[in-house]
Amino acid sequence: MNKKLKVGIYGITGCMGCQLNILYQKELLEILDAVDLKSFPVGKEYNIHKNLDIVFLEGVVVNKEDLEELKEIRKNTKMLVAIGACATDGCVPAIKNFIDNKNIELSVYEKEELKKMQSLDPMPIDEFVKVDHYIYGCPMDKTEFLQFMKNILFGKAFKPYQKPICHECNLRERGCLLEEGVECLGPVTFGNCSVMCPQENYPCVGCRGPYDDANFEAYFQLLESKGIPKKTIFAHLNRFAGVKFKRMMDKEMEERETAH
Amino acid sequence: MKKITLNHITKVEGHAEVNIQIADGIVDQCHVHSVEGARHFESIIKGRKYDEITLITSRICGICSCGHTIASIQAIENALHIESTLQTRLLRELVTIGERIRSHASHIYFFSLPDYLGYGNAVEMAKEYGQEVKDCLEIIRVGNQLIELVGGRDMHPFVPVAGGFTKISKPKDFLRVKKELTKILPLIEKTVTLFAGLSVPDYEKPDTVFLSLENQKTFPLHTGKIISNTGIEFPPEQYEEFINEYFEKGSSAKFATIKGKEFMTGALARINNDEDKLSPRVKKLIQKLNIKLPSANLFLNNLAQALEILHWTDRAVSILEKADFKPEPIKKPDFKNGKERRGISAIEVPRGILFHDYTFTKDGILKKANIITPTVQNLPDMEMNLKTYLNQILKKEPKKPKEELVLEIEKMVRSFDPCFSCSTHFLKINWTEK
Repeated sequence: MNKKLKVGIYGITGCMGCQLNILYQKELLEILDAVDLKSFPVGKEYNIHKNLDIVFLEGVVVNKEDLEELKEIRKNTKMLVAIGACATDGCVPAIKNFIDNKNIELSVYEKEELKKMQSLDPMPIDEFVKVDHYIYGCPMDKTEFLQFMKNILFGKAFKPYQKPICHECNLRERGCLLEEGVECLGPVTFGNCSVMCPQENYPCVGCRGPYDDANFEAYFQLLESKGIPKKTIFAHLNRFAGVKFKRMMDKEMEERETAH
Repeated sequence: MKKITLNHITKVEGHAEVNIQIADGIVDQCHVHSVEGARHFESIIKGRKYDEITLITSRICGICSCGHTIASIQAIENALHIESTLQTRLLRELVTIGERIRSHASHIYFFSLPDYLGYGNAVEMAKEYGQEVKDCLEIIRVGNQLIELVGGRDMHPFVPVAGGFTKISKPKDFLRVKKELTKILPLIEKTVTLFAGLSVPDYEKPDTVFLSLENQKTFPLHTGKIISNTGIEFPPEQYEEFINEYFEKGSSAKFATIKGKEFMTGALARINNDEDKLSPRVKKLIQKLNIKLPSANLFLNNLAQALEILHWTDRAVSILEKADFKPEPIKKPDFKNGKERRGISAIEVPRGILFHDYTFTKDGILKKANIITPTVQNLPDMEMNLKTYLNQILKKEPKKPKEELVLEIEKMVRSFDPCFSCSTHFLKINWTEK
């Protein structure tokens, strides 16, 4: 057998849920057996941080310390995999980019302490370093993680899923929540989560980030026809992947303008 | 002055740092700081509608996302006068019970047990204690199933919402999970026996204030007033009069004291304060194993967690035995009265009492929020215990090697089961010697 892959699992600022989701994999012992887990500070005492083959990283950059750690991790691994919405899209901490920063910080933290914490605008990790693969969702989708591990272990390329949530809803014959007038982000969000939320009568919250070929103009028209104000949807888009949704919308608008 | 920095105490949830200052062989200062980046939850939910809040505050913590979900929902319902049905309350219990089982099992087996058995981690420990690790994984799996059954997903559950549940699973699924829970009961009894047999340090902080929720009927979970072993008693709505939160330099977490004194909250506090309400099976086992309670030895917190897994599994089975859950309409708030409204909720989560306090505008838009997590409450008590414990050791063995002291510090910190995401990653120890 070939040499085992040297793996690291890390977290910068976040809720730790994605790292725990690795611990909670039903196939945990099999996975641990198949790789050489060099580093996992949440779960083990002695960790080797250099010359890694794959790093799974959870969390969002909110301060200089996060950024320095992220750069150090990138330097020491061949492949970097962003796990979960914080790392892939900024998740809820990035809501901060859409509201008045001064109000936030002064209401909760004292000025002087804040300076020391050297906070930055919360951003997904690909804002700062190259990311090789993304495992989406809040929390990271366990099935997608397992698909990824299997592919890597068998030396197969991992292709990201390329369809929106709606595609899966259709396949499952789950009626449309938007048709019912519920604010669902399905048409503009990446699928491959077994439409977990709509299946349980809860609208898609966009935690897997923007779908590459999303048509925002058509989406907003549909919402308007259902009487859902744009402002409400903007607030909803901001929750889990605000930075990336905004970028996609801006890009689409620019393309339309050039086309005209 | 000598300064030594020991990086990376591992196996805790989140990122923290311990600063210890030793002068003339005595620890005179000990500070535990969270160095987790600030996420400003109380501010980012401002201006959002009541039905969006829980979705966001659940993300405070992946370990106790169910606890945050239920605390958040209850605060919203209290504010907006939504009265939950009995079925809703029972289903919510099941969500937090599932999380309690998973959280305690993963903490005591993965993080604490290797300390006592002399291993760096659970994977190394698995070579000799393979069955124990498998038992743990099985307990976690079933806990997760219970959460998924009721909450839609085993982390950041979305099916529980203010006013009810968006979906109720099928009776056959409730039955399946009930059987799974019944099957792990012997594994949990084994767990309790294992932890009762560990030799914990002979240490007590006799004046410890143990704080927990208390209600007349059942072992505390989602309702009740706040009580202590020292006679403190107040309803959750009055928390501000009793609990003071403050900042300490260099920490992104706040600290909390009760009337100026440090206190402990969590499994040991609950069992110390409310032992009589544990399930008959747990009481029998306490007697059989000769477990002395109440106890001011906080190293017994891990054993208390094991006892709680057993109690809550019993409780879940008894809920599921009587259950006949059917879909109910989700209750909506009424905004006709046109007034600003505030709601406070205190519930027991794995690490102690969790407060969510929201104020909404007359239209149900969040205006102000305050959230106090258990780790914030436990930090000052952890500092005091570390200081007392290290001095007790140094008095007996002034020349004890630093590496051994570090292990003791880590053991103690992990006994508290701190979660610094909520309030720490690599725990870093800074020593200063004069």
